[in-house]
Amino acid sequence: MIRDLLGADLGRVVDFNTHIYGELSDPDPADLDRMARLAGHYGIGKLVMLGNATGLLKDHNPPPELIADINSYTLGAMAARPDVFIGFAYLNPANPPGFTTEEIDRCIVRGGMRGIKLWISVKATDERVEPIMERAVELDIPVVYHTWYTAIDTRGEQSTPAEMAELGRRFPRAKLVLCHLGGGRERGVLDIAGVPSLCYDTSGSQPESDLVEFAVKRLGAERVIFGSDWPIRDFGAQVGRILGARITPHERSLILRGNAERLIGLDGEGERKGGDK
Amino acid sequence: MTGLVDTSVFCGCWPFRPTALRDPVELKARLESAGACRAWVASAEAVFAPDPMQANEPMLEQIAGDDFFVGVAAVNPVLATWRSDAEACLARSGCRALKLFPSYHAYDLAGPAVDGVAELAGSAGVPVCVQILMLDPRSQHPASLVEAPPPAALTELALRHPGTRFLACGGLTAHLEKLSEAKNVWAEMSHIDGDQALRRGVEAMGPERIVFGSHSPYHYFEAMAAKLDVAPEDVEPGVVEKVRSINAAELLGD
Repeated sequence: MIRDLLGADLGRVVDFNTHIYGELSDPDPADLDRMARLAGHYGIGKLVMLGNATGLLKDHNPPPELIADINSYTLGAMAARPDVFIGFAYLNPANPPGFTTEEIDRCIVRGGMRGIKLWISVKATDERVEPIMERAVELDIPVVYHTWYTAIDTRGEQSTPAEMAELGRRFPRAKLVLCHLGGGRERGVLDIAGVPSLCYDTSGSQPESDLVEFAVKRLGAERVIFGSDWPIRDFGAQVGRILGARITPHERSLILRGNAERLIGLDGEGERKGGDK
Repeated sequence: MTGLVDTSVFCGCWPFRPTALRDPVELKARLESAGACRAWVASAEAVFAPDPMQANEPMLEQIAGDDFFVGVAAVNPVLATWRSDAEACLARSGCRALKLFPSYHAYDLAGPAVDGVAELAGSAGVPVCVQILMLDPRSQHPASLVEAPPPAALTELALRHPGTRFLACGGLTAHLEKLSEAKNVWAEMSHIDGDQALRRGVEAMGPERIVFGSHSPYHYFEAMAAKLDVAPEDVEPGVVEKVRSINAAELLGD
């Protein structure tokens, strides 16, 4: 049983990659409670909410109104269950810069979100990403960016891990987290190995064996972060992917919670720079 | 709780996961330590071998006499000798199922040779396992791109052969609705995913036609087993036991 295997990490696991389905009105408390309960069954205590998936899927290149609705939903989730949800602001670098600046202030500086999520509206090498990166460095918050290597069709302006490595080299002080180790796989790990500020979340595709071990070997456990991508994936299977990896208990604990706590500053409330807390 | 029966594991060399376990003895030790009591094993080498018997025979030799394993012989119905080879495999101790790899062996499930395999399996009382996916299509090697057979083709095959039992291996959650239309098709769990994977599988196929499968050693067995680790309020009583072992026994004809 998963709970028996987690040891001291039981109830303290931080899931760095979650969404939720639901209409873009105020969150239904029952939906949030259900998500928290399901996660809790697998020892997950904190959920990083990267944006309402129903909203994300409406448009790969969302206009400001949709971005605002998605982020308002996340703020609602944070207000309803502050014990569980850690919000990240979903942004589109192609939106007018003035809107994005204000959205960062609304969601992060005033709203208490802890990071930024970028998906497939523009590539990581697009110059429109740069103002967002500069502000993230000022605020000392992580930026989570969807990445993948696909052998077949691609969606939107999907970034590759190599493009993320380029972005990481341009912003060496940024806390950049690539989504989907299971999408970039070995090639993605090798792409970012030489850029020490970049981390990889463990989500993406099926729980293919040996990938977590490979990432730990090439990047170090400090750069590997547990993420499930729920509800696209099953919470249990995604935690099981870490528990099935042949790594040390210390490495496992770093992946399941320690690295996320360090990046988000869970043990350092109020230490973020540039905020008005 | 009953032992966990895994209906989809592989041994041998699989070029896309070069560090995965290959030897059945090592695989057995790993699966047992993680909670499996039985595993249906096929040779991954049969996917690319010019003649699947080059992979079937050594595997069946290795597992002979070991009740942990149910041998699954790969059949390529495109080859002239498929019938005699399949019969020879089923005559061996421990071989109790046949497996088709239509994507990699490049044939249509609607073809007459596949009907022959279904008839043979029905006569022998053994299930036919049909591999839908071996890899996430996005993760394929660029020099080895294949398309999964449409789930409708498996459903139609099963409807043409109501006396034969079929197991869909590596089918996605999105495939289940179509697969469920044939009552002689079961589905294993290895690629069924999403919010509460077990619930989704059971809702689509019914509680009697979902079986546990891990796709080991290419998926983490612990990750696959965790799909059955659900809170009591999230599943009807008895369903987990059915998926763990009871349904697999029914499918195997025990």
